[in-house]
Amino acid sequence: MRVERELMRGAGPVAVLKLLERGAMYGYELVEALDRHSDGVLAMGQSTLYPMLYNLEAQGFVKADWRDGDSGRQRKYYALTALGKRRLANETKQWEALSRAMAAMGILPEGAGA
Amino acid sequence: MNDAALPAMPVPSDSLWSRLRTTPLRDALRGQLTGSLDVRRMIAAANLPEPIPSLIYVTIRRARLWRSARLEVARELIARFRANLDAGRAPEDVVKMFGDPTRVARSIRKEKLLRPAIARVELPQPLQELVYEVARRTRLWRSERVDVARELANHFRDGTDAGRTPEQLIKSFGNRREAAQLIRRAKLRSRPFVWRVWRRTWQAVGLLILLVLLTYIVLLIRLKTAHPTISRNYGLEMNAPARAVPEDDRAWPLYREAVLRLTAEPNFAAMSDRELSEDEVNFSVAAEKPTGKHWDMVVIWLDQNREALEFVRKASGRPRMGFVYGDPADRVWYDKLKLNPKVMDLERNELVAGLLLDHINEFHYLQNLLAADAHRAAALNDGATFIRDVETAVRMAGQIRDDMPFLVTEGVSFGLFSESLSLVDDLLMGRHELVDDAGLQRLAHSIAGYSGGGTIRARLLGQRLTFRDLYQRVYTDDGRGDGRLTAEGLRLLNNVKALSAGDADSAVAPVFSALIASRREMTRATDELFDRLENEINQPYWERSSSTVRDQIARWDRSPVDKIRYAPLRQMSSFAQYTAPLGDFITQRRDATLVALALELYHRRNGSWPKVLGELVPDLLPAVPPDRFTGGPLLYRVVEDRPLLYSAGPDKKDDGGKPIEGPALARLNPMFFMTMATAETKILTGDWILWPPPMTAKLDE
Repeated sequence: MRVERELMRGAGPVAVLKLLERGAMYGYELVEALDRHSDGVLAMGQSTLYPMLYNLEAQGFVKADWRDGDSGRQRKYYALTALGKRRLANETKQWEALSRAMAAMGILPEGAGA
Repeated sequence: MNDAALPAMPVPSDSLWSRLRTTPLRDALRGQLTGSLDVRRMIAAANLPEPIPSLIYVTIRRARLWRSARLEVARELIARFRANLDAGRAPEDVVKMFGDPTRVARSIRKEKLLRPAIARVELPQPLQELVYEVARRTRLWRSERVDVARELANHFRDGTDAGRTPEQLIKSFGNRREAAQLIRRAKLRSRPFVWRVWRRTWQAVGLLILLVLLTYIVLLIRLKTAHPTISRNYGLEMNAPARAVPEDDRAWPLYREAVLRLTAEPNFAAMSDRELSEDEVNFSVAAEKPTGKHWDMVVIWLDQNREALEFVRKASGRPRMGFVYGDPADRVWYDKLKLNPKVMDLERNELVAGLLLDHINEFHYLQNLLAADAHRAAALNDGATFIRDVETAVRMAGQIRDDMPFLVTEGVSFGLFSESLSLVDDLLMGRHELVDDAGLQRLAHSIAGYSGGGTIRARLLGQRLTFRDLYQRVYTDDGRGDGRLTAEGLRLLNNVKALSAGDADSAVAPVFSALIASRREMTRATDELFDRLENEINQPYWERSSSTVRDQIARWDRSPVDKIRYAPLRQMSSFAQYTAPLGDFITQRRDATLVALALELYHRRNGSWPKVLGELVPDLLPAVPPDRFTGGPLLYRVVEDRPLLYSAGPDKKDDGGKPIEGPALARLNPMFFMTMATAETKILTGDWILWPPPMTAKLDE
């Protein structure tokens, strides 16, 4: 199932920040991880991912640098900054509150926001 | 490579300025001067053995990259050198392996170009084209485009390496145009703060220019599509008072007959081509006295114009002037003046300010005729004719004010009356025995009766209506007394010199049209100025401290907006300046002559001059007239057995009859002089001598 564009605009950056919490990742890795972890719900093409990454970079939530990959090719790796970590923590709280509210409204199953 | 040719990397400065210059704004705002954008600092911090730091530095400099790219390349070079050193290679070997820094720099710069950067990733052609197209469409800086292209290309390469087909990858990419736009937007946010401020500034400037341009176009259309509606014929309305005078009561038809019969005044310049003597140049029939060198010419001219003189005398006996503009009976007079009858046709409803008042000029010639005849009467000891001529001149001057009062008619009337007073002054000064007591009293009654007596005041109704007429030709008419400026109106304002800024077709005209007051506001401001001016005129001169009209205009002049808003009214400043004291001047002049006549009568009765002017009241004067400068009684003293009449003058102090020092104009007419004077002019000291008349002063002094 694909989520609406507006919803994706809110959920996508948090999902990316969450993935980067584990360590630096490059674009393709992120696409794959998003697809895999969300069962395709948060899957996004490059046309969505890269502008999002550049925005996060412009806001100082992630930093990017070119590194040599295993294949010998260079890849641009994105890593979470301290500011990004704070943002992720904040966004997580908001999503939890939202989930609880949605559960209370009966939109999400009981305990979804717990 | 030659190490000797390699310049050493300058030691990174640790100065505050250097750190400030190389610290990202974000860090600086947090109070941390990290200097993290300083390439030299980054290279030095790597602690690589010489000459590697210098080699990196020179290579980066020669690559001529943007600062962000320089940092990125420096980071990469440091990593590569370190990897080689860690692998046990000697620094010299590593440097040798690196090669010529200029060549490497060129290669780095080239690598930063788009196509090679994409090609290096070795993608299938369709994917290369997609990356190229998206990167190109971002319209970012070259280094940014290369960076985006490299990243996208590597992403696709990861995809193909994972077994996905180019078609699948292209399909999953999404909309290229949209992606390029989003990437551009995001990348622009990453650009330096200063650049973003600069961009926003230019965007704001551009928007402002666009707004100004649009506003200008709207104003231009507004101006060009606006047309005045001329609904009233002020010319006909102004003509109504004269038209209402019964034909038998009208003086003008008789004056017209006099004018038509009047021959040209003798004029040496017109009669001869030779060089004229001073007295010939200055000759005029009105000024030439019977003792003058050219008096015989005056006598001949007078004899030629006996009939004209009779018409003037008869005309002055008529109740009112009654000059009807455009009267068909005036055709013969138009022919004499070569006036186009169409110009005189008020039905054409032409601009009132452009109407010709040529009949006013004719009275100067008729006054000259009367003055010359009065001089001849004096020479012939014919007191009765002298008195008759003065009475005629005074009545004629008064009749000029009968029809619609314009400033020009008021001014001419006052001027001719003043010339009549001069005839009486001349009589009292040199030939007082010519006229008996009764004659002097007749002269006094005639003079006192000018324009009904009392304080003489200039009237402005004609001028008011002239402005109203102007506005109906300048503005549109919304039917409720309001309207906006028209192109024709702007042209007209320029033509009548009501404006000095630009013409109707100039580029500033639309802007001007937006700033100038609306019809209603302009009419209100005009009426207010005229009200103020009339209040000033009605106020005694001694109670006026400053001109509220001029103060108001000066206030407008101090505001750049009001200066344009009320531009057509700025000419009212000089108009008010010389209009306000006109009546005071002629009143003072008249009063002085009336007192002089009373003094002469007193002297005849008593054989001496009165000690104070109060002695003339009530037998010879109804009251001692006021000094127009102080409001107190006119000043008087007897000096060397001759009476001296004077006003305290602008300094309002009795200086014992000491004349004003200064230009001749100031001595003859300090009121008028003060209106002409600028704010910097010092207050005139001394007294304004009214009697005996200051004949010695020459206006060309």
